[in-house]
Amino acid sequence: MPPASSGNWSKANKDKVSASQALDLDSDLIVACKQGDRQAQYELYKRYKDWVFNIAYRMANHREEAEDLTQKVFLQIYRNIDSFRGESAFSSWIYRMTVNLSINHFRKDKKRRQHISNELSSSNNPRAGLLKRHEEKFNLRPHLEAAISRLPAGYRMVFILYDIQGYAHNEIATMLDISEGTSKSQLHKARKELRHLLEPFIRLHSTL
Amino acid sequence: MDCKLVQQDLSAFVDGTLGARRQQAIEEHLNACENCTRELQWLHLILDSAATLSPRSATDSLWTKIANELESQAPRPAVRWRHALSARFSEAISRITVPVPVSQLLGIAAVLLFGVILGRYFFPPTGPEAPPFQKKPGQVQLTSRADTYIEKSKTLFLGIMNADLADLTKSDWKFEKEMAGSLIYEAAHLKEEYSRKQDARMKELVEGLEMLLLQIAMLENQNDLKEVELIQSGIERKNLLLRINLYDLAPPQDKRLDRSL
Repeated sequence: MPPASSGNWSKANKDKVSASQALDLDSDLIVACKQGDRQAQYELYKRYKDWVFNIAYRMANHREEAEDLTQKVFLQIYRNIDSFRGESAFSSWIYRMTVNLSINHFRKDKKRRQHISNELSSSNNPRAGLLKRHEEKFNLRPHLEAAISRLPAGYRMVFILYDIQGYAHNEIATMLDISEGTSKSQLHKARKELRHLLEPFIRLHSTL
Repeated sequence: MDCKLVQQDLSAFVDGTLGARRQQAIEEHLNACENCTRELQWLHLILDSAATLSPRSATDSLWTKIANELESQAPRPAVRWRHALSARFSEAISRITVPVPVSQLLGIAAVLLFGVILGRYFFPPTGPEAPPFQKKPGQVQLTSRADTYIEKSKTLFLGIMNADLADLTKSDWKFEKEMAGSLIYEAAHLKEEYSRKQDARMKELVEGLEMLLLQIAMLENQNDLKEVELIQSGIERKNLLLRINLYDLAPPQDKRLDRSL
């Protein structure tokens, strides 16, 4: 069930997701991709690039890194497409590969997390630019994007899939090969951590 | 109700995944507690902000990068002979059993050559010399190409026959497959030429080798012992190495070739 607070967003996202699932590749295109047909590979790229790139971008919060990850995901898809046996929808196969590669990519990169952590700490100084922010309408999004990228990779992916992409826990459980209960508990931990990371902004806004 | 416990459950509360009684209890607490209500508002703000983050698009050049990467990873259709002869393959060749050490063989060859020179010096031929075999330019080129094709096939087959099957776990047969692939192109040309010249025996030899080359070129990357054994028995069954040796022993003028096989 989508968050009660989220209004119409989740329905809109769900519709988008259903539409993308309806785009499942026909078998001819999959066969052509298996044979290394470049045009077919491009067709596949066109269909899934936005989905893959958005997951990568939310995980990285950095364009170049997201593009590197997107490239890595597509190369893996082409390299492993022979292993797709048609037991599930092709889109599900691609989603699973994307989320798992993304999580592994960021799990390995502890240095990067430290770097982001430092970056967030400096940008989190709410007194810097206080006047400017006071004049503007409070906008949490840039700080939220930075905070999301600081979450542990597993929490981050569940938060992205549930609260940004609008997937249900049972769908997330299938993609990540975890139980629904784990998906729920990781989501709550992710939200709690985000609340903690955004504390300085929240406190500042409360005093203005 | 304790504010700490309520705030722990706020995430599940907004999702509506708590039991009905717990949901009701929290709602009642929120009606009375300003602090927890503010927490709920912040959670709403975080979730609404997350849900309305703008979708992003990759730059147009990303496909070019991916395509370039795919291009650089694609196997080359044919490789030059020298490159194809890998260290592992050379090693396989070196394992072919030679009963006499190479240095001794060279010594024997030098003695024989010296004897022939001396013999011709002291006992020059008296009868009329046989006229040298005159090859037409096109024929020289074709024979030379056939020689190369057969010699390379022989090296490849010897390597396969002498491969240590117990050690195949480390092998991917990459170089053998590449070499076989390039020889198949050559076979196509030779078959066409020999068909045109109506040289059925030579065409048959080229085809016989080609069949095995095809099997080698199509070996799986992972070791398939059964496939390798099939190739080995094919080489044996068709007497390919013997036929190649007979071809090698035939004098140059007979390699056109009706009598060599």
